[in-house]
Amino acid sequence: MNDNEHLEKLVNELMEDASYEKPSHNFTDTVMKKIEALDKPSPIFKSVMPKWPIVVFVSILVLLAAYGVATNPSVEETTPFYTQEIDKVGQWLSYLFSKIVISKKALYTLSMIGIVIGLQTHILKKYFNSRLT
Amino acid sequence: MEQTVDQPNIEAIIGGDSQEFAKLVDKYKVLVFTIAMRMLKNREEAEEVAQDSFLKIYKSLKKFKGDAKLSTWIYRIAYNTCLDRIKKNKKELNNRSIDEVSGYQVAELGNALEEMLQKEKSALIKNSIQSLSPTDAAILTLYYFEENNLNELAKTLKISPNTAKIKLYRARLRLAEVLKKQMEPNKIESYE
Repeated sequence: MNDNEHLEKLVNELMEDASYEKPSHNFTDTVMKKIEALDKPSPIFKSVMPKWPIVVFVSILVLLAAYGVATNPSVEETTPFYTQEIDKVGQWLSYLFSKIVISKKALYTLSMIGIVIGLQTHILKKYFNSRLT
Repeated sequence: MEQTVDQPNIEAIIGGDSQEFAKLVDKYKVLVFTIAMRMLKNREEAEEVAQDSFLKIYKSLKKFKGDAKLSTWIYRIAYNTCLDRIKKNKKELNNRSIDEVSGYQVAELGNALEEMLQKEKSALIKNSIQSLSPTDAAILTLYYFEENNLNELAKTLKISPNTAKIKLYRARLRLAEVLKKQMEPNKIESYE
């Protein structure tokens, strides 16, 4: 028997005697849990509000702004036509609440919030109706 | 060597039968964990990498063409997952240089081992394998898992059978060297 054969014989014996390593008792369960998690579809974000009202709303705003710019070149000096209507509402509100002074900025902001809430309430109502009925 | 658990049905696993995959995990978990443990030398890390290997096996089972043995394919995934972890941890992969171990010394080692108590012997072998580099430990482990089949070892490591033979020879030499160092000279003499 040459050196090589001696070595092979020795290592063969060693490796046959070498014991296997045992993983934890819940190894299979852990792997299966990970696989179940892998198979579960991840939650997909779906907005409550459909896209079309947002698109319509933004389009109206853009059109109004474009119209305002097109009809009044000196935008900074003049006010767009729709502000007159808002002014009227403001005047009416001022008359009603003469002691409360509402600035234009605040009025615009309140109007915008009102429109958004109005839209969302309507859509949420439809959403919950469809889910609960 | 052979496990007693039934052969898992690959088609059923691909079809979504998780119970069949649990069978596959049960059949190969000890072998995959042994490879991971011998390469990574850390129980927690080996457990994590063995689990990751099974997740990879599950995900890529569709790609298994059957041109190699299922066990060879599984060991290859486990081996590569361990290598990836070693590279990620920047652990030492290189082998140390081989000191000559003469035929006489090998015979001496063999005699000494024969005289040792089984428990003592098992601990010594385990420590010797633990002292090997990850690649040497993997080569020896895979060769004996593959029932001493050099071609299957070559397929697992994706190298030629000749390269596998050379690597196996060097790994054997290093194991004998480690063993020689682990067994102090006076201890060897006491068993003679």
